[in-house]
Amino acid sequence: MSAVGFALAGFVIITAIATAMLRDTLAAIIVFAAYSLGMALFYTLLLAPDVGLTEAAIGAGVTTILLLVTIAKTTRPRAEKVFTAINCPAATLSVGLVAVLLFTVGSIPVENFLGEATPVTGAAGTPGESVTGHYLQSTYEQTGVTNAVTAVLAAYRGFDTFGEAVVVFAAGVAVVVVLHRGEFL
Amino acid sequence: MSGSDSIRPYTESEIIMTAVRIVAPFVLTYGLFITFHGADSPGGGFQGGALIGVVVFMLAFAFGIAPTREWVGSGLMTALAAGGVIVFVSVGLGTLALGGKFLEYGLYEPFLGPDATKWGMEAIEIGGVAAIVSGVIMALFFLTAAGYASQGGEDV
Amino acid sequence: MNEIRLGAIFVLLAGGVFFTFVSAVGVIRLPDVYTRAHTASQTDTLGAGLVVAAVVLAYGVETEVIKALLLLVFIFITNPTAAHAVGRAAYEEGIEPWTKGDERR
Repeated sequence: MSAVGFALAGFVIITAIATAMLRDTLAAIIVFAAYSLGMALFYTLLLAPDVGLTEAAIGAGVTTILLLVTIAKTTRPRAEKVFTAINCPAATLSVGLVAVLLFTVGSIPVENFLGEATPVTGAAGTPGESVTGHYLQSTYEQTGVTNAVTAVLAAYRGFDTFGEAVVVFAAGVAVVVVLHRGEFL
Repeated sequence: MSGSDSIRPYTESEIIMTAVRIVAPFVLTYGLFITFHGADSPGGGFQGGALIGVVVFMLAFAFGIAPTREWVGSGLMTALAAGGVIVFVSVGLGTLALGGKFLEYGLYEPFLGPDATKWGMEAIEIGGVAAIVSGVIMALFFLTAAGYASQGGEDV
Repeated sequence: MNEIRLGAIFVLLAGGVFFTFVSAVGVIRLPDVYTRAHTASQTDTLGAGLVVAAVVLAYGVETEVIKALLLLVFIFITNPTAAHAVGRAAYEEGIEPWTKGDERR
């Protein structure tokens, strides 16, 4: 990872902690938008423009606006302190969970820290032997589209995408129910 | 919004309205491009649908939320969200009816030619995911802005 | 010719970094929301504008230049509008502008 990558990673971590720690809801929302923007840049830097685009549009754009509208409709509690007090048991638990998860990173089937080949990435120069390489090589022949991400989403994992789309629809229906709107709007 | 005049619909200043008038067509075009070109460039139905929904957010912030809600209409949002699910389901069930598996696009080849898989994916992305996401995002925004129905929320 | 272009790119980048830094300092140091909105809008309009101009020069004659120029146009449209919206919202909230002798700093 380059220097830009490390700088972005630091920015993302700082904004994530600030989002959790800030007492003022409005400030937390704005910092969360900055976090999403940093995450979008990070994904783009890691050559995942599809995910970066999603994060920029949904995370930094739509989520922020929806949260701001919610604040405008409800109340914004006046905060006397800038940062909230740390809940020690919860903090210990989450740090422990992250530590345990970090131990499993070495066995995640992507190219690990030492740059060794794994089933997902394959050995260098032989893309056909890995899962990623298999998709990159055969997507165009099998589906006729050049963006392998779209092919995986809509064709190889079409049923998962179907569930995802229905979940989005269900979220809209749930908001209608929660806000006691008889007809849709 | 609380600070708005009750007679005149709340609108932002002329500057904001002009800027939105200039920018909105470009954002809509970009959203449509991402949606329709998602098979060959970064993007797809989810991202494009979100951008199409954001265009409505912009219009609502510039020209007032209630007038924009009436202009868009609840029928359009319902049609987009529910129609998207129907399109997705019918494309998937169509392959089942043809004797295959769910979303096995290859079975459409007798009707759509050799590119059937690509056309099936485009149908899912454009008619399904993009429609659902844009409709639901608009609806979430207007519902949240209108508030809780039985506790002094605006009449819709 | 190439040296001139390189020098121009350097000057533009340095100018962009300078204005971004100045407005970051301004957001911290200036007294009230109006002056802060003014200096924050500088970041994008001047800072990002100069950096994108440097990008245009660095690319030379290519299709990417059109994208960068479009980006510049949209930054110039949206960013002053955002600053205007912030100032207007603050005014409608009834926030008094800072005047000389005000204890807010």
